[in-house]
Amino acid sequence: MPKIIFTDAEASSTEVEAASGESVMLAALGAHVKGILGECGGSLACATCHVYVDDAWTDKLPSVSDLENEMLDATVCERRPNSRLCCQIEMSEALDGLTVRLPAAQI
Amino acid sequence: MIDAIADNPRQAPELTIDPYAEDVLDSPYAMHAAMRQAGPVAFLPKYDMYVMGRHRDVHPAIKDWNTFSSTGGSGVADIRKPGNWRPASAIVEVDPPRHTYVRSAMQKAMSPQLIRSWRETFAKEAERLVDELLQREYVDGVYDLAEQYISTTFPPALGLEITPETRDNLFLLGALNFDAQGPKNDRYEATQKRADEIMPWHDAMMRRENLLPGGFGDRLYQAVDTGELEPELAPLLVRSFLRGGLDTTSSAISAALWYLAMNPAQYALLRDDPAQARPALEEAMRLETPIQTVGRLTLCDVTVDGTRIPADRKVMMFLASANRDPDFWDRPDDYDMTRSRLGHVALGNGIHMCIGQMIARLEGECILTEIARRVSAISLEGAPVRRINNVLRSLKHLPLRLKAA
Repeated sequence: MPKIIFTDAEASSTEVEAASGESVMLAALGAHVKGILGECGGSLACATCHVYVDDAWTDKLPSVSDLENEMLDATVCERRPNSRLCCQIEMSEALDGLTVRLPAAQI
Repeated sequence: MIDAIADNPRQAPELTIDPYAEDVLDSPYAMHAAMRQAGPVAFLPKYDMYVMGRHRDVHPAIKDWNTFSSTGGSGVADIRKPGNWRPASAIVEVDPPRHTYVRSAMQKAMSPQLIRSWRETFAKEAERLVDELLQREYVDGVYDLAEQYISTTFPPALGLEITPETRDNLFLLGALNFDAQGPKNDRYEATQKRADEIMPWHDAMMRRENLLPGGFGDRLYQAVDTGELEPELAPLLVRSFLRGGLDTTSSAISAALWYLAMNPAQYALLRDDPAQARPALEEAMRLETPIQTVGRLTLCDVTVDGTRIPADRKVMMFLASANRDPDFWDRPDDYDMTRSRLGHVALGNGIHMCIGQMIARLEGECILTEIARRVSAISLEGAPVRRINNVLRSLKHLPLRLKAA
């Protein structure tokens, strides 16, 4: 099962095992990772699953859709080039070890 | 589990239950259990529609627009048929790619940033209202609290000025919207008759000149100016905001108050930790499920967990049944704000998931936070009374006592 590493604003890290095909957001919620809300359940309606993707991984992810791109402007914390809404990142073995930083707030 | 092809699929059993009978609408839970028991899919000859009520089937199905289209209408009627008696919703009753275009434009007009900018106003109004209600102590949780709060926050966010008369009109429009999603029964006819009288007001209020600057409605018209939105869509989407956003939210808030009044230990959790306000609302949404059912249309023959539904048929998804399915939820009928609510379908799922959910959550959060701050105990002072509607589940009277902290 591919792993995701979440690092929060205080620099403490949590490693989560995800199922292949599961979104990073759902894996986070399933593991009770504080700092991901995913209030809309992955429908690109809330912008509360915002993450900053580590540089080593940004190019390995599926591309940003138009709707994700619009919703990324709606995040509470600053949008950066490596910002993603992690409900749109589907885990696979190829993304084993994916490392993301959590913003200070989601709402 | 949905299989596109299966060997020897079963035929859906026929049921004679009537989901729209008054006593069933008042208390649908035994009916839901019977539906789930009958199988993944059943058929109601009275309404010429298939029905699904199990969480494991409803949750993925409402997301699967390639199989279960919204173009047949979200209610009982097949809106494609000639003689259809209500116009299609510009956003709900379309599929991609059309849906993607409309939804994008509407989402931009009601962006999370804009919604967040309303927080201070919503919080101030909650403060003012709770203050006033504490003077009285005995209140109706529906009329005095939930509906009052929503009618002072939501229309201004849209850009509509509210008077006592317009408040009643707005709730009547909501009632009509949801009765019209049921069968064309006496209940619907009665509501339509009442609503006919306010149609001139209704038509006027969607127009640009009647909407205040800066609200969601005005932003839709601005999108027309920049060419991002077709002109005809602006008034229709204003109407969609109103129809979808008012009595659904007040229903969720009333329900939250009712559940909190019945569960003092849960209310104590909220008092201790006001950050529970959003979970408290979400759990009430699961249990009440204001929009009880949504319709879909099969675009192909489909087999759901071994039972076949032919192509081009209406399937009614019983969201309320999925939200209390004991196969998915532990203690499904218990109000527990600490549980994981992941997987509830009160707001739908997928591309059609409620576009106003962030407004609803903000309103719920503001009013419940203020109540938790100022009210030491909420108690039920009499039996609640339900408002009976073909599709919308809501309370009509909720006698409460609010004890000041």
